Amino acid sequence: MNIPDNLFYTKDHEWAKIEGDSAKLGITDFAQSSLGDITFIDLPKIGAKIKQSELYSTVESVKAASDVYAPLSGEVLKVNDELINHPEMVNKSPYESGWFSIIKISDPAEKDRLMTSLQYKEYVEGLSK
Amino acid sequence: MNFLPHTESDKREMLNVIGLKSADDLFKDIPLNLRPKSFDLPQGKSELEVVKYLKTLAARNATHLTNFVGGGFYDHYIPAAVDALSSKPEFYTAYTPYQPECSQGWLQAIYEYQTIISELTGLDVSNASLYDGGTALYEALMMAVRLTGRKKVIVDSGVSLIYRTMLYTYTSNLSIEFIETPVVHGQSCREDIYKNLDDKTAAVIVQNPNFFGAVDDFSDIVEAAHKKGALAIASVYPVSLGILKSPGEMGFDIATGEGQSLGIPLSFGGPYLGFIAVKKEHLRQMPGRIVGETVDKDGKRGFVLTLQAREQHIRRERATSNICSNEALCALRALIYTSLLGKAGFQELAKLNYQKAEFAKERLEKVPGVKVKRSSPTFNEFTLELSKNADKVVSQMIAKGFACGFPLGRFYKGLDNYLLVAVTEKRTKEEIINFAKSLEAALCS
Amino acid sequence: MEENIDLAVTPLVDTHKNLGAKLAPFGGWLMPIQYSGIIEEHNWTRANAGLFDICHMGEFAIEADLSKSNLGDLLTVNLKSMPEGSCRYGFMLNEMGGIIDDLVVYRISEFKWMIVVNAATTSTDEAHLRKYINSATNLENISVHLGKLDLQGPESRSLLQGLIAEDLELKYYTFGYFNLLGENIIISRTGYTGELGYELYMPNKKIPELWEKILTDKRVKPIGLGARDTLRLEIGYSLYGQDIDQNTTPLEAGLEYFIDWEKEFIGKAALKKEKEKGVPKRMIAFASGSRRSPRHNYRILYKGEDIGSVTSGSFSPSLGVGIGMGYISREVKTGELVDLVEGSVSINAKVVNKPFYKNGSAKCERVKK
Repeated sequence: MNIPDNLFYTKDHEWAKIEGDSAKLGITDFAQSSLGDITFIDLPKIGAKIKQSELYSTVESVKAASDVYAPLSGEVLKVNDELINHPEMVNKSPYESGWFSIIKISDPAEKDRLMTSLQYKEYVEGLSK
Repeated sequence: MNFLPHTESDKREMLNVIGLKSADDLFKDIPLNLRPKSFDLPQGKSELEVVKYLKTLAARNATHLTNFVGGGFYDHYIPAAVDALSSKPEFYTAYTPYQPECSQGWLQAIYEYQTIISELTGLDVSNASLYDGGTALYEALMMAVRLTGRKKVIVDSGVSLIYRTMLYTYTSNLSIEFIETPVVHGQSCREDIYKNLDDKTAAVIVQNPNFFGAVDDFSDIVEAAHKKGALAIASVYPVSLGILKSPGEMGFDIATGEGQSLGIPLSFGGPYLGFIAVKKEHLRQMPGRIVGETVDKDGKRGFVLTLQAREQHIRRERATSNICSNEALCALRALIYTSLLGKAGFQELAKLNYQKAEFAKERLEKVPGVKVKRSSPTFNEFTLELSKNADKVVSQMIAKGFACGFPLGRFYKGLDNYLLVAVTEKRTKEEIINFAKSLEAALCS
Repeated sequence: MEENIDLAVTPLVDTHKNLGAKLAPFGGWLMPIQYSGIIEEHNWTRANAGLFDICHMGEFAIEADLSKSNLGDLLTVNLKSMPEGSCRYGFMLNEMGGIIDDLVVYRISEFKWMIVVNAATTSTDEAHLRKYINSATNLENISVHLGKLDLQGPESRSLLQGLIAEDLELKYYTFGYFNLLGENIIISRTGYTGELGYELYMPNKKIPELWEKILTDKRVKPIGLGARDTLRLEIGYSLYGQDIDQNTTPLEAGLEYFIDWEKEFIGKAALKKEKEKGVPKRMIAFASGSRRSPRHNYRILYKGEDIGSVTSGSFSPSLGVGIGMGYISREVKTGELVDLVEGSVSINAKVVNKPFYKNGSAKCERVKK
């Protein structure tokens, strides 16, 4: 299970990469593995305002649809259009080319509510027991 | 006659006539689970692969060993003409060639074969052959049982254990009482035979030469048997009949034996050739096919299968036997072989065998650790008593390039150090001398 | 992952674990859902060949002389006309015409039959049969010892031919006996994927050996139930428990073809009535214009009106769009548009004729890739 050090994580298996006052968002390796082949991603619109812990995207795999929650609040600056026709990129590269969106962070303090890579690792290990 | 397989349209036409859609419909009565579409067979191999595979198997035969093993099956020289003539397609591929209108060639060949067996054994009539010496002996036994109506049989233990076992196996569901009499100093023990011979005895069975290679004149036993109304049966080695007194001369009622020595290769156990010859008065109880001589409607000499009322396809329950076949090709080879040798040649062959064996005996006597058993005369096979276990010696001798003989301990209790050695016309003086040298080395170590 | 110790396992459960399969409960069994991934397995089956562990399904061995036995009364299949070596798909119905199970009947001989049923319903099927069969019918549940592997895909014939020396000749929906690995087994040319394929019925003790033997050929990969579902859905096959159940009749499911109206069977009266009155619901198939897929229970809206619900829905790997089937209470013509809705999700889809995927090789005699 791949859990890069430089990211922050949520209990619902989303990740955030903080770059200055913006953050790149996506779902973790654990999430893509559990979902299986991803067939469709419902991405937010540019300009949309999302709130931490609230639903902002849906991921569909062959068998099911899964809700994706925002790790941080902010305004959507960019979305990964590649995923429209190639949702499988999320399976192949959940942390790099499989990114969902880039937001402008509205409340940097929210970062404290996220897990570090170590904490997320422990959390994930606890889940498989 | 050419062989032409059915074409697809032939098949369709035939199916039409009988009103079926496919050949599969002919098997409808067999349940589906007994008609599997495949049989867990390996994939087919090409001709090249098959030849390679068979060669690998054949290479496992130790054909390089100089052969001194007998025990009923002998390494005689087979002239090339035997293969050449018996391979002619008219002989080789004919199946059950007994319709007289188109098989006169085959029928004559069998008739001539019968004649040769009759002459060799000194008995009046012979048949078109049986499967091998063992089943032939069984058929002789059953003839005696039918002819006398009796169920007790005396079997000399000089008769090969292989044949004795076959007799017991074939008759295991009949209530035949077997009495085995011992061989003492290589000879059949008359005392024991006469002790058991009575008016309940159907037959006395002996072998000449016996399994130890010992030769005997059984005329006295034959006479004793006849006095009690029993039949006398001898299992004989045909090549030995080139110089030995024949079973006919000894008065035997039936002679049987293994015809492998008459132009048939050893072939790891078969096919072999059973022969049987009987006194004229027993003709109607002799089993198997018989070819007889007759004349056709134009008065010309011809050959046919005869006396078929003995056989099971004519009289099922009253048939003399269930055998309805013979070893035609092997019988043909025996005929070609003996014809090539001729009477004189056959006698010379027998003499050569005898002489080389005698030479071997003398040479082996000089080997420390070897005692040549000389209590009886022998033909081309004799018994040695060794200073070591014979099976061990056999293994050692294989390493030296010799199949040195048959360890008698395998067939007889207490004879673990005894070795049965056969010497045929194929064994050269050099081979015999080297054999003796190697045996000496083997016994020393 | 916690394993429910009440789940049954097939002889291949350890094999699947070693292959890294994701296992999950299905019909009371712990089954492999996927190995390398559902889409990859699905595509591989359509292009090459896939091997499926289907040991969980149930089988009954039946002895019935049709002149004395009432077996025919329990099934919608026309048993009398079945030649030896043939297979027929059909149903076991309740008195209301509802489907107790869908099944395939195999005729082994004049009096010998095998019926193959779904895993989750094997017990209820057996109970139903035993309740109704007469004394001239002998029924044995052979599921415990008999396993099944499905080999499906355009390469399946060539693959199977590699295992047997004789010519593999099986017409669609027929079967024969084959000696494999020392057993005399049934192989039928049947399947659930729409591709050329075979079902192999092998005693459980030899299943692992057969599995390994088939997989030595690199043209075939192991396939899980996930891909099995997308494969069957693309052909429009119903899944018992999802598209058909005791509350659905074959008429409603659009499967009248598999009813033999010429004979008596349990549920016939109810079906006849339904046929006269008209079905209260009917099955439709639809394909979305996007990768977005409808799911089970989504509502079906026609011009804003709620007319039914989705029974099976999934992404179709072969077509690249979401597809599904469901039941509606009024007729909607092929080509018309419907909306598949749940919560905030609304997927626009076109009503289509099954099969969704039209290039299946199932009936091919000469397969081209």
